[in-house]
Order: sequence, then structure tokens, then C-alpha cells
Amino acid sequence: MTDALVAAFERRYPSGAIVRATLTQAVPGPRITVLFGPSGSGKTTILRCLAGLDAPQAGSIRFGSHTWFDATRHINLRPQQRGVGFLFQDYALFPHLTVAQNIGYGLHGAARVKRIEELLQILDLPEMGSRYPNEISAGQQQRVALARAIAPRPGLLLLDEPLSALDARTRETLRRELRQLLTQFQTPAVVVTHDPIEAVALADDAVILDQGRVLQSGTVQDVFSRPADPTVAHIVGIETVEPGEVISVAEGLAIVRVGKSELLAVASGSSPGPVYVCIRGEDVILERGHPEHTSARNQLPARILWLAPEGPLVRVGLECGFSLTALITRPASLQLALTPGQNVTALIKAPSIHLVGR
Amino acid sequence: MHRLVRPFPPVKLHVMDWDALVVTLKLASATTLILFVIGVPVAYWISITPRRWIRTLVEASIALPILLPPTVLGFYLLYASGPRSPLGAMILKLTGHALPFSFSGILLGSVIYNLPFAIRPFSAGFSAVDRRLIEASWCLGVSPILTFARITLPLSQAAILTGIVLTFAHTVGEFGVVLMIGGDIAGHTRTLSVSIFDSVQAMDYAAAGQTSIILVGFAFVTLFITYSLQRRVLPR
Repeated sequence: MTDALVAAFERRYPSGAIVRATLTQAVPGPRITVLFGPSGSGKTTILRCLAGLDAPQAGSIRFGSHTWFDATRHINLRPQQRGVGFLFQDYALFPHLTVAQNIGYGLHGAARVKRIEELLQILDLPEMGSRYPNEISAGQQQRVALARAIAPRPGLLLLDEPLSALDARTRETLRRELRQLLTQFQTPAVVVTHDPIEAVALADDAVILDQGRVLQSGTVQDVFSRPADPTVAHIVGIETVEPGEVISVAEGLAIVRVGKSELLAVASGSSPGPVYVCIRGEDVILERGHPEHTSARNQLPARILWLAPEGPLVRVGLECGFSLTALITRPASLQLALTPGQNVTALIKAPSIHLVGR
Repeated sequence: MHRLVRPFPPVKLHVMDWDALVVTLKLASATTLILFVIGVPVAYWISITPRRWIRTLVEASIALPILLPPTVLGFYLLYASGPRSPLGAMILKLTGHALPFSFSGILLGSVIYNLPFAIRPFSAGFSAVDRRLIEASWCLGVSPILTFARITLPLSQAAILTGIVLTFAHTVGEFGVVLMIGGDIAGHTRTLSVSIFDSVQAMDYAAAGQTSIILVGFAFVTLFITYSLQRRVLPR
């Protein structure tokens, strides 16, 4: 069993802002936990407190049998004593050192050279060892930073917005790769992100933060498809996250089985195998009866389970072979005279279905 | 009050004052070396301390020589280190000789007078190093002191060189402090700039002109080097 992280602390700022964090790993093992929330919600503060780069004023942080921080016992281990790997948002590679020197920075002794070689191999950076950080691409820099963080075999990896410095295309490729690498390293990780797709792609568990408070935590699928309250629902922005399986891919389009239904989605690099199917509530159109002419490729017979008014909007829970949430306006709901138990058709355009590889 | 400048020796027409050149180079090298050794830690402290009031106080004190006339600093140093002051008496007792009118005296004056020329570029260089690089090093298990040696120092190379060049050059050109504390003793405290003053007093304009042109050339080369170093401060 891997060491578990148990943290409950409070960081107060002179401006009056307070960040309160409670993190516990419910399931043992090298889990990946994502800290998710809008900017200013305290994600990075929590990460810095875990690393020892920032000190909370109250509470404690324990990792396995070690106490890293305890306000009442005046324990606050320095970053050097905690053995964490930290991946900075813009990588913070040492510009005056080569790729190999960067990776080997935290290593010493006879095994240093061997470990550098090994990591260059694992992270697919052949012949890059003697280059300088400004001579390689952003995607390669990200991998070098990851290699440098993982090189001393840390007990815990902390990743601050690991993909945000990349362009959209590289981000998509590396998202899949990063999940595989993190699983391969067998090191528990805490990842900060504000991108819901990234959260679903990388994490096992999710912690939703807003204005310095933890609003909800649990497995990523739980938190994203069953938000505890409207605030969480608003923050995560994706109302439906369901496990599914890509059955076939042809001409850039994928057929995905979700629950008892089959959906047509844009493949965007997915290959047959398990995926998470992500659908935003505002991308779902509801119709009474059956539409005759429509460009929407997915027309699902659905039954209304519940209706939840939310200001000018209404959140509609549907059963259509899997559970789907739609977000429509109140006038639309009134015009269609929607009531629980009613049968409708849910329309979803293929490009609105996001497939996240696992 | 006694005269600080001794009566001039009999005029000897000479073209170049080699003794003055040797004294000048000795003074500039020693000043630079001392300021490197004490300047680096002080500058580092300035660049990292979270105590803003104390930092501002220290920075302002260090920058004083930029605004003060050299004669003011020279006067205070002379006054404080003279045998009649308690400090001066103690120095005389400890070292066996008094500071005024000695090489050690002008060295002390020169070090104090050059503090801003070394420390300001040093601390500007240290502050310019990205904080996250330092934190990255800490997270990789490297102690603060080793992080300074492996990250901060190499990345502020250009700033350190700028400070060294400026200090050396400024010492070569210094006049007021040296004259106030050191007087004008050939081979001991007479530097090139004092030698020019001497030559002019003696109406030996040829010698003054030659020494002056050397200093003009030197100052230009120094500034040229400094500016080309500053271009390189940008990361590679």
C-alpha cells in the first residue's frame, strides 16, 4: 500500500482571503487527485502548502507515517525534507543547464547517469540530453520537467496546471500521455487544473474548490455527473460524465456505447476502448415527439426523471439508456410543459460529445 | 585645522607617473575583491529579505555615496579614524599604525565609497532570477546555500560582472575620498587621478594630459564592456 495523504489546513492572507483545504485519499494506492476550480479558488495555494513552499497558519498535513506540517506542534518540514516532486505551471526548467543536467539536478551518486538515461527513454526524449531548454519544443519541455520531478523517486507528485502552457493540439496528445505516465510511475499525484476535460482525463478523484473552500470531493465521475449543489454544477460545467466504450472509428467519427445507448461522436484521436463520455447540459436539445429533419446525429428517446429550476434556467435529469442532464431555459420548459415521467427526445450534435480516453 | 594636502614636493617634469599607476591598480583590485566577498551576501540578503523597512534602510544607506560629495565621506572617515577619536585610537593600538595617510586608509574609504557600485547590480541580478527556479531546486532536495551556488549565482553572472567592472573602474577614477584620507604620498596613496591634480598644480600640463587621456580611454572601455554585458543579461 502506498502512503496516504491526509491534510486539513488553513492558509490566511493579509488581504483577508482564506484558503481552507481538506484532502483525504479515500482509496489506497497510487491515486491521481485533481484539484479543480476557477482561478482564485485556492488550488495553487493548496499545492504550495503541500510542497512546503507556503506555510498554513492552522491545521496539519500528514503523508503516510510522516507529519509534514502541524500548527499546534510547530512542525513545518522544509520542501527539501518532504520528498515531493513539483511540476510548475511553466515548468521552471533551469535555462543554464542542459536537458540531462536538468533531469539529474536532484540526483547524486553512481546511479545518476543511469537514471537520466532511463528517464530520457521513458519520456521519449532521445538525443535531447545535451540540448538546452530553449532549444526544444514546449511539449518536450513539459516532459523534461516531469522527468526532473520524478527522477529522485518522490513519494508524492504535485502538478500545477501541467498542460496549460501548451497549444491546443499538443495539449490533447499530452493529456492522454500524461495519464499513462502517471499510472506507470505508480506515484500518487495531486494535479491542479481549471479545465474540466483535463480533470476527467487525468484524475481518479476530484476535489472541487471555490473561493478557498472545498465544495465537494469524490471519484471524478461522481463529482462531475452528480454535483452536490448548483454551485458545483456551475463550476464543473460538464453535467454528464459517463463511462463508455468506443466500438468503432470510421472517417473521423466514433460509435460509442454508453449504458444501453449508442452515440455518434467526433473521434478526435480516440481509438476503440474505454472512454469517458462528457456532455455539457447546454448542448442537449429537448423535443416533444420525434423530429423529422435535423442535423443532430444523436436522437435519443428519453424519460424525464426530475426538473430543477435554477434562476432563468431549468436543469433536466433524463434517462435515455444512461443518465443525461440537459440545461434549458425556463420559458422553453414551460412551453413544452415538461413534467417528470414525460417522454421526450434528446438531441445531441456529434461534435458536442467529448470523448476522454482512459 | 591642519592642512590635509601636504605642500607639494619640488616639481620634477615627468611624462608618466608609474608609481601612481601601480597604486591605482592595487587599490582598484583590492577594493573589487573585498566588495565581491562582502557584496554578494549583502546583495543576496537584500534580494530575499521579506522585511521591507529594514531592506529599504540598508539600501538607502548603501546608496548614500552616490549623492554625497566624496569630501564629506572622506572628512567623516578621517575624523573617525584619526588618533584623537576612540575608534582611531583603537585601530592604532591594534594594528600599530593609523589609517589616515596610509594605503589601508584609502582602501577603507574606497570600499565604503564603492558599496553601491557593487551591491546594486548584484542585488538587481539576484532579484531578476525567477523565484520558481529557486523553489524548483528546493523541491528537488537542494539546500538554500547550494541552490544559490548552482542556480542564482550562474544566472546572475552578467550582473556580477557588471558590478565588478563598475567597482574597479569607479575606484580607478576616484579622487575626493582618496585625497581626503590618503593625502598625496607617492608610491603609497597617490593614485592616477591625484597625480593629474598634482601635475596641474605644478603646471605640468603635458603629464596631466597624458594621464588624463589614459583614464578617458579606460572609462570608455569599461562602459563599453558594461553595456555589452547588460545585453547578455537576457536569458540565453
